[in-house]
Amino acid sequence: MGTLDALLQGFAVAFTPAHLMWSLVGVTLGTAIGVLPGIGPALTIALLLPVTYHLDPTAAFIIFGGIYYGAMYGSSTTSILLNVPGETGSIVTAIDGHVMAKKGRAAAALATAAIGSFVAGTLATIGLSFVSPIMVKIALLFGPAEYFSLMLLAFVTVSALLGSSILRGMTSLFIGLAIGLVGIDTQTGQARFTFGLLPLLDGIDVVVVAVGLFALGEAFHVAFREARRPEEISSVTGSLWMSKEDWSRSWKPWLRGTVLGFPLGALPAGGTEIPTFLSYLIEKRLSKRPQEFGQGAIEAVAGPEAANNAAVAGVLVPLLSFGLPTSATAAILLAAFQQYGIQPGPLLFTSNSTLVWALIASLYLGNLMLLVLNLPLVGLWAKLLLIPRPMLYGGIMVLSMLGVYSLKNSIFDLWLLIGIGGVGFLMRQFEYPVAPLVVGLILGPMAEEQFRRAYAIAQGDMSVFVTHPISLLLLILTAACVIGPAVLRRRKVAAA
Amino acid sequence: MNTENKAQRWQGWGVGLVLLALGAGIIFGTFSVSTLPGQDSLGPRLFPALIGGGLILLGLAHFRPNRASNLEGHADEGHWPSLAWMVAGLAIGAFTYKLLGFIPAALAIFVLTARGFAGKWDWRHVAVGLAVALIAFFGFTKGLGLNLPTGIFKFILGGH
Repeated sequence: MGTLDALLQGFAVAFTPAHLMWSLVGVTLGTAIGVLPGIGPALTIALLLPVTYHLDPTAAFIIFGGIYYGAMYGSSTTSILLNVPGETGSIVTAIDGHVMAKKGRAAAALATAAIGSFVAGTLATIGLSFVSPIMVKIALLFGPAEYFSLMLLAFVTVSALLGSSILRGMTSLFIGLAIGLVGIDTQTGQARFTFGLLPLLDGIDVVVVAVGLFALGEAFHVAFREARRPEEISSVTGSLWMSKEDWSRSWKPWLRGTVLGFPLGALPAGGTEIPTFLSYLIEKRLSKRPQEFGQGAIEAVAGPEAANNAAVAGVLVPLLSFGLPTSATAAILLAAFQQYGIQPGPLLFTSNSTLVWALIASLYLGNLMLLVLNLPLVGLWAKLLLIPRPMLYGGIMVLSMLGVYSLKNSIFDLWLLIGIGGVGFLMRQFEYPVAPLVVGLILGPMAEEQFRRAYAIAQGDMSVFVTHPISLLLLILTAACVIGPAVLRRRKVAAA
Repeated sequence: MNTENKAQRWQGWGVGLVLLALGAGIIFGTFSVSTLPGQDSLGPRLFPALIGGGLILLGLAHFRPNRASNLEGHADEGHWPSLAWMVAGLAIGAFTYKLLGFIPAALAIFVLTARGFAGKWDWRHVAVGLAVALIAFFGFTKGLGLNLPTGIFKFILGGH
């Protein structure tokens, strides 16, 4: 069956009234949480995991896909109106977007963000539809040795590229790997690091960790640092329709942002920070009016907003075709697949083709819904920003405790949650990125499994990792990612 | 060296010490993971040893002076009372979750978190908190079939 046929079948499934409704639920929820500072898609999907357990997997993933895309739309609203990026991918948007808002051009900034997100989201979803099947063919060539090397590469890129320093990224990753050790060893059934505590035999659930870091850790941070700081909200001002000049200054950055965002998102380095920063720099260099950047240039909103939406679709490529999560949200999505007993990877496209293609089709529809939700209704979403902080965080805490308790109806998990929240708070204070921790937690046990499987298949011959050409190539890339930056830095120092 | 740099350095050393302790603890714990004869020769001990070793190396790296000074601390002091109210709310919530039931626990979590953020008591927090607790309880138990503890309201709401 060709890609196009499969996609059409996906549309047939996604177009049923129930699935359309779930998609609408997902994108609405996604926009809302994107708008609200302090909650992101990773946290929301994590909290919904115990709740959606009763739903059929296709419906659940249509909701998650909607949340994932919607959060990117919503977060630009917060960046522009509040100068507080809802997601890391919107940090750049805040720079010029908020200046535009202060100058009374909030509506134009919101419009170019929403339309740019739609253009990029749709083009990148087309990319996802046609690139994933090709990636699946490559993934089928992968054995355990190749998988292990690929995961090693992901570990290094995720921890070296996210956050401000390799040391801090690696520290976060290794804490995640260490947490991943807790529980029963899947290969031999031996308990490890359970300290004789029965609730730890199943391991520490990724939901508890994600909610602890993203909800509690973040809320502790805001309470500690910003609770007393006044908020400065701009209202939606100016014409909702972009002027002719706005259009002509926006469409090229949208397309360039898409071309930049999708492949960079699809690389194991993942994430939306790098493509958005690159897009900003490129637009500034190409602009005839670089002096306007930082003073409310519309290109500086259009480009990065397109780039982050394209990157979000790009991240789904390695997740669906290799089972490799490269961002915190992707890690939670992987946990969601596992909850349903589904293992993402090349076989997903044959064993669960209906689900995958319905999910992809729903992303097209979701994008369209998001455009409608975000363009005319943006004033309504901005009202969410009026919820006072005490009540917003009070609500988030109640839902966090509820979601984590519902996993296993366990009080132990609640105490664990508070403890992990403390760890997240300290990491925020000392500026350690938390995403590598979540990726390490979920990918660590998988990497161990692949390593031991490869070792067993090779009958104890460790050279298997370097004699397989793909594995060797991945290991060389990994080494380059570790050594490369250090060599470059030394050269720079030598030159100076 | 000014005081701020000194503080950052202590911070780096502190994190380094925690990582060293964690790494050493994992390596020590590795020996208590039992292996059975006939298991693959790598067994369940290899990865814990590697991860423990990695943590020790990362811990040592935090003691390198140029690394430690890279750790930027926040210049301004944080607000401890806000944080304390929140943690107290969550702890009371966790403690009373089964004992008193979801509704009182959620109310405590909401009101104390809001108290931490607002810096003062406010009856509106209690009202909204109660509404959130009730909507969450009935929405999730009746609507989505979740099992939340009813605690002291067991005689009215049933359940556990």
